Amino acid sequence: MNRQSTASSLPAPVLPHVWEPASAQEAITLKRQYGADSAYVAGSTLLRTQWEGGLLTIPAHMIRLDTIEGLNGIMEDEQQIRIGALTTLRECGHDHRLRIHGNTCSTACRHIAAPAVRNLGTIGGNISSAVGDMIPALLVHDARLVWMDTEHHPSEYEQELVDWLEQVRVGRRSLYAVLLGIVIDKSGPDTAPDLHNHQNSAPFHTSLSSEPSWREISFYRKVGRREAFTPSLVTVAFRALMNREGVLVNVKAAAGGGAGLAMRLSRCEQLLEGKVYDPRYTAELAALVEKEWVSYSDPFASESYRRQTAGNLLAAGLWETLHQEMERG
Amino acid sequence: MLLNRENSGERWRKRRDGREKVTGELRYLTDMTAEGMLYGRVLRSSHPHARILSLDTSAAEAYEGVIAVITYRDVPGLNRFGIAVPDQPALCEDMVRYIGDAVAAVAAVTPEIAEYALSLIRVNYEVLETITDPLRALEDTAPRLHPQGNVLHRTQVKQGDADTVLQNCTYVVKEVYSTPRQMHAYMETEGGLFVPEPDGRLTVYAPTQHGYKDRMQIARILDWEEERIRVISSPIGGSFGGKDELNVQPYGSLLALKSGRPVKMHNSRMESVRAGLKRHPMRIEMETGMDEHGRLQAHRVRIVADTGAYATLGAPVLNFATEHCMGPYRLQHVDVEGVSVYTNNGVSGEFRGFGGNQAIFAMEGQMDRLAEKIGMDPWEFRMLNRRLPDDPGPLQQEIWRTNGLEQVMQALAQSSLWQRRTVDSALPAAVMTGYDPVTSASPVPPWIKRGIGSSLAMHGAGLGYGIDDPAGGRLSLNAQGQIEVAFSYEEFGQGLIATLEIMLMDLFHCTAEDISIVIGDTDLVPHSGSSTASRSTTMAWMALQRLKTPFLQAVLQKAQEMTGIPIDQLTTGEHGIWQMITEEGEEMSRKRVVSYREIAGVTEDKELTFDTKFSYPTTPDEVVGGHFLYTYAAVAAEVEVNTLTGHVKLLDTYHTVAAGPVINPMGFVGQIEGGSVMALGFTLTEDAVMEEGHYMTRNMDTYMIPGIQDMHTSLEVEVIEDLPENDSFGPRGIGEIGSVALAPAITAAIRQATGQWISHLPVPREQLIQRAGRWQQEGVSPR
Repeated sequence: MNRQSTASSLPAPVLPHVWEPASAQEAITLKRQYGADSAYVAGSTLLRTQWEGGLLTIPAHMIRLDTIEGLNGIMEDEQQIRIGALTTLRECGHDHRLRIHGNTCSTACRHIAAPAVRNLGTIGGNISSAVGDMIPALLVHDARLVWMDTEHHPSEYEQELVDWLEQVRVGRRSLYAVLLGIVIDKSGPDTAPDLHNHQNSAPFHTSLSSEPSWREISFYRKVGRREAFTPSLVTVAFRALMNREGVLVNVKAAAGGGAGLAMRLSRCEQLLEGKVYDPRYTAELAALVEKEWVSYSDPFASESYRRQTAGNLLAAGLWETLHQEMERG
Repeated sequence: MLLNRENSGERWRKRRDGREKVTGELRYLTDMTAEGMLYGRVLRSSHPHARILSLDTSAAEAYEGVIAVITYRDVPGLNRFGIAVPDQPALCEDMVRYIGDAVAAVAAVTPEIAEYALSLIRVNYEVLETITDPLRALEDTAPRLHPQGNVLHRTQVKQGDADTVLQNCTYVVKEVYSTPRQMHAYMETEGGLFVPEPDGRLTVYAPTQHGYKDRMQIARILDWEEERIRVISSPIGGSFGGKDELNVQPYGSLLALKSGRPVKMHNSRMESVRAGLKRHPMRIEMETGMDEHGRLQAHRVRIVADTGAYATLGAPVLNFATEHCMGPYRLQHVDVEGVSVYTNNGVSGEFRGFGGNQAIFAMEGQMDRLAEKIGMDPWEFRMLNRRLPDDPGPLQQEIWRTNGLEQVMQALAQSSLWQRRTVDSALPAAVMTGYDPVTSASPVPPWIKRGIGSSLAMHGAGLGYGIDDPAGGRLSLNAQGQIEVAFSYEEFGQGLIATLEIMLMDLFHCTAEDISIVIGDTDLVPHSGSSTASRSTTMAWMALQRLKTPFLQAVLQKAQEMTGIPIDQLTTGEHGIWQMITEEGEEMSRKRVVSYREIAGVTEDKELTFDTKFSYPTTPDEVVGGHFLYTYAAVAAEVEVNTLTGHVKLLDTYHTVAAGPVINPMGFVGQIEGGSVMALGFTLTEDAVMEEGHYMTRNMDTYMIPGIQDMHTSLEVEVIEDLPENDSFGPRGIGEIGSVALAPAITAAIRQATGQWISHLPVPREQLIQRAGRWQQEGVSPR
């Protein structure tokens, strides 16, 4: 086995130029001007590890987004919560409105990296990485992303997070778009669907009674290689409405973790939708997730481990949440 | 006695280097700068195994801001280093054997220019087969990584007829254990400042565990007399064995001399991972047999250690593993063979525990498996098979007799943690109401399983028979009127300075202000050996026992001359010499009669300076590497296994240690706690993963040391301070004992919790994960 190689040369040591645009339009203009030699940066907590590790080349032009006003903070109206893309993970994790209306998101923010990283890292950066731990949590809230991708007015538009992930998956993600914010709908019983449309067969039996008293159940689970300050191996999120009889509707489940793209678990959702969850079938639910979720192997965890863990976390999370609900009566 | 703040009274002293360290004010050697300083960078190999076809540094040399570039052609002396076997090139000539190998180095006016200049160095390689598996390296068809082949060292212990006896044993357990490539992960990465002095000498400010050894190795590379080099080596931001070997010193020294300017070297974390030492991954095959009563009969062991590309201390580490793979047990028939093998993986070397961690994990695993096989309580089984106080050591060598083994076994048996261990293993935690004293009100979910395990260890201190193991020290009254000790030991966080301070205060009843401690400077300290192998505390104590009498006699004589008070009424104390006055019918009174400063003022140079030299105690039997002094320990650990994920959480943990008198209680607890946390990482999360000779864990974001949330929920340290009346060796070292026996206690606890035997570390989660819902079969329901 003989082959020859030559140590590669690096470009001359030039420090990156850091641009400080005042608006998203200006940032996009810069990005279009410098193209692949440039990158949007904000907290830079993930980017700097990727630069140091050689996973990404340090760009010649860094375009700061944190100099743009109006992209920071959380706002609400009667129906929606809008999170500015530059809101730090720490702010998101401590915001009481997000705790009430986006519980999985709030929990996720408190479990990303370490406090120092959460003080700098932004929710926009976490999403833009396409592998952030926020993404499964946002998926179960049907989050929409607010983008701007041209300099021309009006250019702001909303896009379903799930659709953007699909663009990423097929390599059609916009290179220039600036993420302005994230929108989620507030939780509420008025979104409960018509139960007559949800008559699936066993193992989950169907309840047709129309129970007015719906409450949200949700959970978020993350497993890394240690307890904290660790990349995720597996992240799952779940959200549904449940009535007093235990009927689940508006079921949303998602899984992600590591360098894999997060995804909604639609077969799992269909299985539970409109049914009374029977804990005897926990193993079956876990197996379904395991089958549905697409993951990968790396030196730290095999694909089969990730899949089984995702199934376990989702099934047990539901079991545990219902257990707690029953305890509360 | 449980060792903690409450039980230690005034001896629980804040260390004198503590405040500076916790506030970040302390200037480590890698924080130093010098006027006109250059920045050094090393070009490491692009391949784990390759032949260098050509090496061209001309473009780098011509680049503006580059002051010096060095290759192997610039090494005037021996272009090799290695504490035990100098086989590692300082700068590679024609071959590279791992991706940390140095090919060239640059000194430039800025770090950026130095880094860029590395990219201008043209190296043509012929890539060769990468040997990553030690078993492959042992095959005849494997490429030879060194002229003598791929075997660094072999060990063998044969006693009786193990093969035949094993065939006749009533019970035999055979298992293969494997352990990870653990990284030291010290806070301060390798580095230093290298200063050519106007008088033609070289001052090296660089952390090491043995300044004199570094001085010798650097002198050998430079082809200088050792005395022309001054090595200043403390304080150190952690070492754990990893900085005992040279790291950046050859490059810093050569660049400083070539450029004529001070040069600073400081490895990034990624370079530290790439070039630094690791713990030897070992594959240990054990076959152990016993009779129908549970008495051990025969033990067969095969150890294969991956020593990586170069020797450093690979051979002594294998010696130590060989000695410790028989544990503190009586074995009549023994057949042990070990081999340390060169590969193209990162270099393995010295690491806290020194091969004991791997061997003890395997041997204690055997004990638990055998006990279960015969249906005995694992601790009773160990008690049945333990060595007796008069028994020889594991290598049949004479060892110093103590009752430490028996005492730690009894202490563990009586510990509250071990006593609450239930014999009904693997009960679902949810039905164990009241199990957890804190959260007993809310049952643990059914996927959480708990268990308690234990382990036992005897751990040798010192370098062992046949290896030069010098000790000594100097005690003086210095010109400032302080009682000054000087040793060539180093302070790398273990608490040496605090321990020396307490020893001196105990001996001379003086205050901390009366004491000066000089370490880590080859121009100022005598050659008292290295800070390795859990030896410093014992050696310092023994040196002071030898020095105190002549020192006291001389100082008190001086005081008598100055005061006219009879010497039998004088004693050392706070800030000076005190007269003890006893008058009939009255209580003894005391008063200070002369200060240390006053004595120093009338003392000739060196008049009150005393030196001693001796060697670490060794067994009289000619068994190379065999130890004489042992520390004994037992560990109990409770774990919680989350079967949804296979994640293991360490809960309450108990360490009992028999190591003679405790000098520095806080330091003692710190060493056991620190060692235990390091062992936790070894057991559960740490492994410097390599594929095809390249690290997959290139930084601390993928190499997982335990964080605060991963650590034990509680850790008790019980000490046994008894020593035989005729014991003259004082406190035993405890720098390693906290790290050697936790792993098998954790895996025994996992067995109790889940029914799984773990033989591979770090514990594979895949082995512990179970499909959610299995608990329904166990009758647990949310309703």
